[in-house]
Amino acid sequence: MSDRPRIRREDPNREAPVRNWSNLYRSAGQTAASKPSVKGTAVPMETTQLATEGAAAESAPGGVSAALEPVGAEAREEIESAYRVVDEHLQEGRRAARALSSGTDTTAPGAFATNPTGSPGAALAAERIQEMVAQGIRFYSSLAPLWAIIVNAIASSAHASNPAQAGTPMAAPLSPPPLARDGVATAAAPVSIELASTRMTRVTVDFVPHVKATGFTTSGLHAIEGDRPPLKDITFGTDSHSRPVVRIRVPDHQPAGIYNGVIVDTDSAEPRGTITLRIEI
Amino acid sequence: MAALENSRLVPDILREYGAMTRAALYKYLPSGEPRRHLYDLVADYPLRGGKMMRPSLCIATARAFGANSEDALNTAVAIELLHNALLIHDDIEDGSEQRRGQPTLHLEHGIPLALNAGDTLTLIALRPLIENRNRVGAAIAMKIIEETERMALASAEGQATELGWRRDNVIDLADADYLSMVLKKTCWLATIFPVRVGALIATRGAVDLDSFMRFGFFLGVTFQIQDDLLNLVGDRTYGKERDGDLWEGKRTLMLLRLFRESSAADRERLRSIMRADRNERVAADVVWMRAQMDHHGCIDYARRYAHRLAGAAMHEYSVVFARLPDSRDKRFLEEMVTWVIERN
Repeated sequence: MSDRPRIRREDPNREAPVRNWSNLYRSAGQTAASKPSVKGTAVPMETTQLATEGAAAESAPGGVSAALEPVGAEAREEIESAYRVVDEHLQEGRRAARALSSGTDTTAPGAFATNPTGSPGAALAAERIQEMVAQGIRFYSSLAPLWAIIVNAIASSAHASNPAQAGTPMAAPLSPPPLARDGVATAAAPVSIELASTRMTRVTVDFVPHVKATGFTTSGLHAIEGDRPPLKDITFGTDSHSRPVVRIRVPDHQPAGIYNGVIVDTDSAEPRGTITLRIEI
Repeated sequence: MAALENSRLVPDILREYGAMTRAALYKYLPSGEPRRHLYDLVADYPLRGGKMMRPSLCIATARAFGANSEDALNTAVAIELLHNALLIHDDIEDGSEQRRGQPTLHLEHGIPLALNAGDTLTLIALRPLIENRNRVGAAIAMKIIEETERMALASAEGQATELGWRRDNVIDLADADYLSMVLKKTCWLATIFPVRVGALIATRGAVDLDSFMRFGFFLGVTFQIQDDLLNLVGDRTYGKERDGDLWEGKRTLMLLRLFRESSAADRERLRSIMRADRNERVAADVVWMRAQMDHHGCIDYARRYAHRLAGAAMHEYSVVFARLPDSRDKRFLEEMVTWVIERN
């Protein structure tokens, strides 16, 4: 063996491996639903250049401190700004979806069986006819009648394919008639219902929001049979399009039956509509 | 992984899925009367070709997640039909003169007939969405319609934002304003929607579609900036009027940068030029704006910006697609990021 000292490479000036660009902005595991593990795949030169130029490491959403090379302030600001834009839009979309979804997702796992045409999800689609007609035809308002036909056609097909709906939460259909009150024409406005229930529940809302109203309330939904506790978890709000939203939560152990309540204008104390909710077995 | 420089994967798949989509799309174009005033106009833009990026993204995403091409085909057709419908309307609203290398539809036939053809294309796009229920089931078909509604609203909002800026002569805008507008006007239809519905079809809704938003946004905004750059520096194959965006007063990253970098006097001149209608603008104004953009490095600025956003798109690709098994479609989605900024 030689007496010469071994030549040692200096320790790299880093605390963790930096093999690829994919953890520059936010770690791969931080995505909302899919949590892919990012493998250390070889990246073509062009790709690396693009990513390095775009790096804005620490302060981007879910940022990670590592970077391949120092990132200029201009690049950092640009990418941060871009992330802010898309993330704000995402939040906007989620708020709108919450308001529109009636508390149920027809495509959630479990709601959609392997046979798509005979699934509970398909039945749920049928239950959403009225809501979709009311909310889904804003796209090109002049084409609304056709959209309504489509939505009905799809939904009724789905409904026919699976009449059994037990055990699934569902959205509530409603179509308030146009009325005139206090001399003000109050055309029927679309109203969203967010229903949280693990029971088979039907909701009917006859609701004509007054143009001047700033809020609504209800003393709860009371059972026709008086020995049952009233439903109290009912709130009112507006969605991202400033349309009324009624949110109803049905406790898991609420007895079956029919529950009724009056919607009251908080400013004038005038009744503005009714809610009828039927909980099956 | 092969180097991207000489890869033919993107053009090959665009051609392949584009042809598949076109063949299916033609079946939805009415062939009866009235042809001269309606159906010939309806078929005009689809027959002119196009990159077929949007339907290809939809099909490739569905396939990357394990679906058959046929599962996504109806939706891909609807995407392309809606894209063409919106192009007709956009061309009218923007006062554009060329589309895919030919005069725009309203210049050839007048605004009323062109508008009517655009409306009809929108209606025709509904048919493949209806027929989706036979292929993917009613619940997913309904979900795709909901996604379509969201996309259409976002597109309309983005277009309204830009048209409002033009009408009110708003130029003093930040780049983030531009990104917000492009997110809605371009990205939703061009990239976000195709990827989301592709994943929706393949997974039957088992993945959170919002996780595709960032990838679609960064890919789409990179595509739009490159499109705006090509309008100023592109060759004749580009298909649109050279410097058309300057003539139309379109708010681009380069224009916003120019305004910010200009002296007070030049800003005033710019405001004055932008205040005029397209037909009042003169060639000397456009030449001056173009020269000022070179002087202030606006083209290079936008090009750098696009590259950085492409880097972010690459990263977001790795977040949402990395765990999928390797496939031709997965590689296509990755290489799309490079393609959008290298195309000419």
